[in-house]
Amino acid sequence: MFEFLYEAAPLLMRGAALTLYLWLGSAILSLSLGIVSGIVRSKQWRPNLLAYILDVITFVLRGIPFYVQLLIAYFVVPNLLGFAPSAETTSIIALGLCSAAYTSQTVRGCIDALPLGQWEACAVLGYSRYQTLRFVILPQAMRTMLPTLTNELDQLLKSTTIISSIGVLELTRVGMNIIARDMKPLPAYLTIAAIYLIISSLLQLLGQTCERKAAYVSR
Amino acid sequence: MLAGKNISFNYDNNCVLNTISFQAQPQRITCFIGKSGAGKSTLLRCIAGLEKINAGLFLFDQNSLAELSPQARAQTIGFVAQQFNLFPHMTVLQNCAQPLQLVLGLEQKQAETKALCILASLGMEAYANVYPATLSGGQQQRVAIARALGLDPAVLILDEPTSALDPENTRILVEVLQQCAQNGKIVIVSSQDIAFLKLIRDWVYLLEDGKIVESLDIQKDPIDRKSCIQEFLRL
Repeated sequence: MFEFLYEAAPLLMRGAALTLYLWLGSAILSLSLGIVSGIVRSKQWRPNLLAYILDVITFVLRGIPFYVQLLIAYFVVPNLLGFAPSAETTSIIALGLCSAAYTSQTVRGCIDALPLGQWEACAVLGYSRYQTLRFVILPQAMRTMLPTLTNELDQLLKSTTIISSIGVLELTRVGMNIIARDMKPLPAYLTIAAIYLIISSLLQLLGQTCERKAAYVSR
Repeated sequence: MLAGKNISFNYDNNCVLNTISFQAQPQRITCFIGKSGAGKSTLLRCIAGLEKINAGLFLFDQNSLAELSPQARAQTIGFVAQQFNLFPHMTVLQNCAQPLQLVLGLEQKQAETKALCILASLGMEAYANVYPATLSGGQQQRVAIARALGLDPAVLILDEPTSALDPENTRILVEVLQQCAQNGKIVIVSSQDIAFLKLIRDWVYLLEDGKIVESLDIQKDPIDRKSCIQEFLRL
């Protein structure tokens, strides 16, 4: 096992670094697009044309398996665009967009779950829409959306394994290549699993810290 | 003076307010009374700008409220909802100081000093650093009043203010409202709490099915045993 780790560590670390890069890129895309889309689609901002367009996009992205979306993004979209982004860029965009659809639903649901009175209190106090969201609605909604968002980001990490199917040398693909070379599946799979577990644990720890910071006394 | 002229409001083809006209004077407490569903709360929500009226207009000192910006309206009309709608993620002080920063543009220190001053006038300065969820209903209401008074509105509106209060807190509320009226504010309340209304004993409008059926200045008008308002209040 130690001999295996010594030999495979550089490759596995490179794979883990690429996995983290893919995860971070798609997480930024997912959170930024998902939060904006969730706000625009919330009850208090309707009716607006953009919300209906985002409803359709969200419906489509949630209705198609990510693997199929990835294949379409990698093999079909470049033909339509006339140029082919790198496999890593395509993966980040595909994964980020797919995850943004779920993030959008979470954000919309948590905003809509807040009492209408909170919006009304801001209106009678003369708050602008931005001030209402920034200082009253999002801080409260964040408390309920944090566990689900942590879950989504954790799921995003696991979904990076699917990217190996288009030949990106992320952690799982690197491990499979090492197995093909050394024919030692047990230490390879155990090491890969341990690396995913460590990253996931750190993410959940971060989520719990954010939850503690966002908590307030309520009844 | 705040006046409503021929106010009508429909909700899903259901006429909730039907050509209502009224006026509310400074230094007086104007009460809208009536049974549940009479349109009291809707009328107050319309004055506060939370509902869009279908016809009529509200005048404040001869100027239409509809022409005011949301910020100017907030500085003219303070509204305390039945559920108080305090911000649960902020302390009492933050609840009262934040509007002063965001709407009046005060510095944080100035806003907090002013908010503490108002909280002290309502006997709530000791609770400045606690969260609203830890307060009783009466205390939450005083915080909501303090938040509304922070913007120094000429009109203070309270929707069913005694619905969650015990008799002692009702008495304290009456004192607070009378103090506001004495300071020159126009105070408007909706209520069907007879004990509270008997303590107020000021200008009363009776609503039935979205219409004002009677008005009475209890301080000045002679007692008329046939009056619906006196019958309602059992004076």
